[in-house]
Amino acid sequence: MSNKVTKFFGSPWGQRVSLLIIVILVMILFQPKFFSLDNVSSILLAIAIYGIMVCGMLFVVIIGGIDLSIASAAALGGSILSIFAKGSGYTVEGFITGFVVAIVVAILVGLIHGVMCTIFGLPAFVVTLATQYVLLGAVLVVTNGAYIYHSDFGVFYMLGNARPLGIPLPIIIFLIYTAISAFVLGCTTYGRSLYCIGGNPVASGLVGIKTKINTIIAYIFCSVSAFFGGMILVSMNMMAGAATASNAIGSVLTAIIVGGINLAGGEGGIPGAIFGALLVGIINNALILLGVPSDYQKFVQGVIIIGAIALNVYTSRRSENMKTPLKPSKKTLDSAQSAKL
Amino acid sequence: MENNLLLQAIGINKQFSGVPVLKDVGLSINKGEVHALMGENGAGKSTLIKIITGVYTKDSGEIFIEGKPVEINSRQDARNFGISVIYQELSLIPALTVVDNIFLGQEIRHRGILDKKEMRRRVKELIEKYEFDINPDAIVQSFGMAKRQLVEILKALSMEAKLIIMDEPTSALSAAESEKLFETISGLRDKGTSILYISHRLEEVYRLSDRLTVMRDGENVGVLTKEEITPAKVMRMMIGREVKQIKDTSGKKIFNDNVLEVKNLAYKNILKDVSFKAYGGEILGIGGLVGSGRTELIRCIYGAEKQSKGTITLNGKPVKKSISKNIRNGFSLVPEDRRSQGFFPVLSIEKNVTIASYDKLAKFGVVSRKKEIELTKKAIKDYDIRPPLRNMPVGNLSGGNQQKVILGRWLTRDLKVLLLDEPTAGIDVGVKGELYQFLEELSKKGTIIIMVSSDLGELTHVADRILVMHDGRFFEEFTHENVTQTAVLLAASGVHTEEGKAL
Repeated sequence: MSNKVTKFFGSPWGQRVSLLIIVILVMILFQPKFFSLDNVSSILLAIAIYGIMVCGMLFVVIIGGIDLSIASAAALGGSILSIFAKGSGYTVEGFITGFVVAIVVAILVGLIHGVMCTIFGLPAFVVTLATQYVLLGAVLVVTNGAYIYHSDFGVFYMLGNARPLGIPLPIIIFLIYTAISAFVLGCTTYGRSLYCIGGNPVASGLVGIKTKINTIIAYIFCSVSAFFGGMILVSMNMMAGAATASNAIGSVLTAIIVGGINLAGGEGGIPGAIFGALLVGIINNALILLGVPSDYQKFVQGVIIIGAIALNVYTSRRSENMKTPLKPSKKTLDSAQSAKL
Repeated sequence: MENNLLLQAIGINKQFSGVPVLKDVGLSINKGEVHALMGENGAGKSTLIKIITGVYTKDSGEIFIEGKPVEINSRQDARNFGISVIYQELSLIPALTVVDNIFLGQEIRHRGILDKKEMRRRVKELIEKYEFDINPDAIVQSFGMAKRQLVEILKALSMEAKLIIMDEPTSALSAAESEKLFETISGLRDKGTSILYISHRLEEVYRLSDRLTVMRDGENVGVLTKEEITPAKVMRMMIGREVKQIKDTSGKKIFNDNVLEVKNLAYKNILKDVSFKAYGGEILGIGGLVGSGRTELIRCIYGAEKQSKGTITLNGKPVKKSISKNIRNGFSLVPEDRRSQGFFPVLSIEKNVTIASYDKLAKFGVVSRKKEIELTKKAIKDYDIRPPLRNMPVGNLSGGNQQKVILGRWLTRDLKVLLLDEPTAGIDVGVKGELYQFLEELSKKGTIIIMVSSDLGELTHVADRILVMHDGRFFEEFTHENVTQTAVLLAASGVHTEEGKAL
């Protein structure tokens, strides 16, 4: 029994859960307000936008890539939607046109990323580092370098602020988005192929996986997620500009790292990444409630990343020692035992 | 007698996720002996070595070095106790010189600055003592495998190793190079260094070792002294079951409705003009030297390369240029280097087995978990994949079991054509026998099997017909009845059997 407990806390999920327990215990002691419905909802709202982007980023990370352009992409998505919505006088048609145009641009951006990485064989890090500036430049051009402020309460406002059944719409969108992403990764042939591409690209080609097309689709999904997140964000904030989602890349990668996802590709899933996002969101919220000055919050965020990586490397070394990075479930062990008999 | 013991391990146990891998294993190595360690893949040899060298920690048991109980918890501990390992994948840095490599991480410093003179002097001293043919100032990059191995041995000696562990040291060496290595090993022994020698090649072990420990299923099944070693005895201890050596051709027939035809195939400058027909029900062996175009031929048939000339047809229909379409039409490939081209090391046995069968396991792109688990269980059972854990990452399995996973990936499908490229490289005798049996069964069902191999024994025993390639063309054809290993070897070097007789 005690062996099982130590094993659990040595596993990636054990670590995540125990970190969460520690944070919750601290909050019970110091700030019971943490558990109010209002606060829980505000935590989820803060996570919702980055959660959507985390889903997109995860697809790209699983194939062993990265997309550093998501913050600029979100800003561009938000700006495009804002221009069309405001320009049309906040009509439904204007909103839809803006939305469609933004998604089309997102697909183009993802396509360019994917093609650069697969057909031209450039490293994703370099390609997306460059497009990060290209997209930011595009935002400055389309907004003339100024903020777009919104004041209307039409469809545009609804996207980020409606509360069907009392639940903020962004949270609902976030939950649906993660559910679909988890389904695609876990249950579809496309999802499986991403793990294979990340795990061994040469072998993937030899078992008939269309590695290039599937990689391009992953980059497109990542861009679309970023643009989509940006659109919800500008509706929530009622303003758009170059600074929209400017810290998205940090938050999204932090969530992925804290979620224990291997940046080298081939491993990881939505539950881990979303748990990472949740943990980071909860800690940020806790720091605010505990009255930690905002300057120190960044500091803590950095410490958390290093701590998470250290813990991760430490346990993966240990589990390498035990030769079981992915722990077989009890069921498989039982079947193994019976197979041996 | 007692003080002649260098290393003694008693009652070593080790489990991985509840599955015992070592069961009460003992090992004793004398000073100045060559001690061989044999066993099938998955018998626990590597695990035992990793425990002795501090890579893994044992669950229970004791290790003594020169009579004193020791705890080896890291590679550094092992080095301090005088144990060095020379792995199959060498750990040298190609851009550095011999001296730099040898003192890497343990440089001699004089007031904080590297004392290159002293390091060079010590390396020269070692080279002279052991009579190695090596220039201490050469860059390692310029060396072949054999010389690199010598540098590794020198490195071990510079750390005053009392025990050098060699894991399959000849697997990347030519015959002449292996011969030199044996001389080196004998020289080391004569100067008092102990060698623990792990190999699948029986001949080497008979020649070299003073004593031999045999492992099977995580247990030490016996220790033989030089006088007691006979091939039959070792095989019996290792395998614990009979291996069929002679091919049973009874009940075999040719399926004329499953024919692969290759006509005037050319590819870049490698394949010049290759034509042949292969029929269902026969195992076609393809021999030849590395670089003769064997691998490219197979890859062209599979659709992984585009031929520059010629046609490939299966039952009259041209073979597609798309791997995924070919797979759906019953093609399959077990590629040359399983680690880099065959399996997905971080993914589970399940994912590795099912990856090529989603056309059967998925509807509208959604995979059926139930069918997936069923298929995996069947593959694990039918092909005896060990350990039988669906979720075990394939990178953690032994070489033989990794190959079984790749075979399982294909054999669970309805195959028309199975292409194999060096399917048993680095796999031990017992698993080899099993793989051959799988091929034989498959062939009886009417699948066309084309197997490229450098292993003459494998070609002559397993294949019904053998085509030998030389310089991008088929040079000579043999049948199972008239083939000899010498003839294949001669043909591979461009000498016809008839001419060979005349020589």
